[in-house]
Amino acid sequence: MYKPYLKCISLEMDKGREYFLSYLSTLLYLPVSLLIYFFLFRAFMHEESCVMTMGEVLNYYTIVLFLKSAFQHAMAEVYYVYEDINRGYLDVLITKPISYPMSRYCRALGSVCLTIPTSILLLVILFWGKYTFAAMLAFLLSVLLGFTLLFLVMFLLGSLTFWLKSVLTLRDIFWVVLCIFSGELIPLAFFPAQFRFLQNNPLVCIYDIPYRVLNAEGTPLAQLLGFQIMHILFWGAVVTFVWNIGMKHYESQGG
Amino acid sequence: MKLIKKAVDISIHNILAFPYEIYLVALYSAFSIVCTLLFWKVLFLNVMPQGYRPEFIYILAFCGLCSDGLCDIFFGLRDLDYLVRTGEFDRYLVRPRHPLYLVVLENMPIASILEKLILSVGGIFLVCLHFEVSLELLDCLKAVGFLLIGVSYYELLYGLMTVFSLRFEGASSLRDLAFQLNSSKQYPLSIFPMGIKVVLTYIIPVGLLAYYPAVLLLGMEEPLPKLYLTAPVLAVLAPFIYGRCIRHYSSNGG
Repeated sequence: MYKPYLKCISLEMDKGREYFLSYLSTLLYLPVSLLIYFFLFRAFMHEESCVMTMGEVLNYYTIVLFLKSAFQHAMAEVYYVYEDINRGYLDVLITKPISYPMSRYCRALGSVCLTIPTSILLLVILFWGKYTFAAMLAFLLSVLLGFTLLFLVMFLLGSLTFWLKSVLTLRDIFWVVLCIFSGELIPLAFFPAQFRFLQNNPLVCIYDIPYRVLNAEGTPLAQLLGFQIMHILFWGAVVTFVWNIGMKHYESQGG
Repeated sequence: MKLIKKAVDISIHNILAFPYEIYLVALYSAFSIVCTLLFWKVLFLNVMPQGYRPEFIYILAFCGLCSDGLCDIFFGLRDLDYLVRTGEFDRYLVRPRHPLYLVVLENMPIASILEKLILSVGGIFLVCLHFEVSLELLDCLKAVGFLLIGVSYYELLYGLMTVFSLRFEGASSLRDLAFQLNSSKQYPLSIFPMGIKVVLTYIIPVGLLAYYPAVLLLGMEEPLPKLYLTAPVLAVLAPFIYGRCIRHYSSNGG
């Protein structure tokens, strides 16, 4: 039963070289991004008036940028689902004895099989001795959970093609929303007290919680991982529901 | 003129194919600018912006949006590499106009350009109203003039790196890597050390897209870059490199 899904992962892993090259080119730009953040915060930040020190800010952005590079291929998930529905490829895909959403997840997982471990390895080298082995393991788990949630949200957006026909601009809008609410743009700790509720939005599971898991900040580990699992279960149910309704609306483009 | 009219027709046709898309594009531009403004707002809540007035930072963000709109005119250049790889570039070569001109015209997202320009002008107006900033007409003209020069210079360099796609496979990856620096246009150029400032002014000229127009708009004292030295070199180099690259172009089509 699970064999076709493993095959999906291995199919995507075969394309690993292609993904890895694009991942490496993103990594090349990473020091430049960090340098820009460094100059920005050096110009504006005065440690006594800020919730994070300069070192913590750079640490935060380093982790976020490495994760973003590792996840980049999953960002294309909306496009794949959009193409499958609009071009009628779904006709063939739904005749196979596997679940389409699950097979897409396995393919997405296959595409990050090399990039996530490489990112974590590079972080280990970069922060050598700073984190314990247990913290790194918890971080890996949290990163995988974050990736799963990112996939679910992307898949959900792709599924809206059943009704909207074109979801690519919606995806671009989502990228901006993700940028703000996931903490990619600015650490959520920077938000004033009245906006602290943002720290409980589902998108924090993608970048912010893995960072907090690694740095063991405030909230207990189990609570952070539990929060991620809870959101995965919830969004997984939403995706299943929307997909099932959408399939009833599906009209083939094939001849 | 006929070609431009045709380009407008194509753009309108594309909009009508997905009518709600026009609202989504506007929403996307609005979200992007809100994202930038939020970044600064949250940063200013945590830090003391010494030497930087908030109104300057916000106007910088809107100048960035305005330049985004103008840069969208050349949106077609982005996918030149794809056109070459799929052999679709051939059809532009047999037409009696410059192929790059045709590629740009055919892919111009007019709705997105107009929406970004309207949003940026509206945004600058609101910032001026909120911070009680009065703009001089001469400063506005200077800023618009510099913005147009800056966008032309930026796109000339972008186009120059793009035409290498005609000669070398995957040249656009290098271009995209270099032009990722575009995201730094929302930051004041003065935060960077001199070396990086020079790079961001002349080599990957993102500083010309937002920083200098914002400086001119607010009538601030800041020496302007010496584009009159580098722009003529680029203007001569661009057609020369295009000529060399197109001579080596071989079709992928059947």
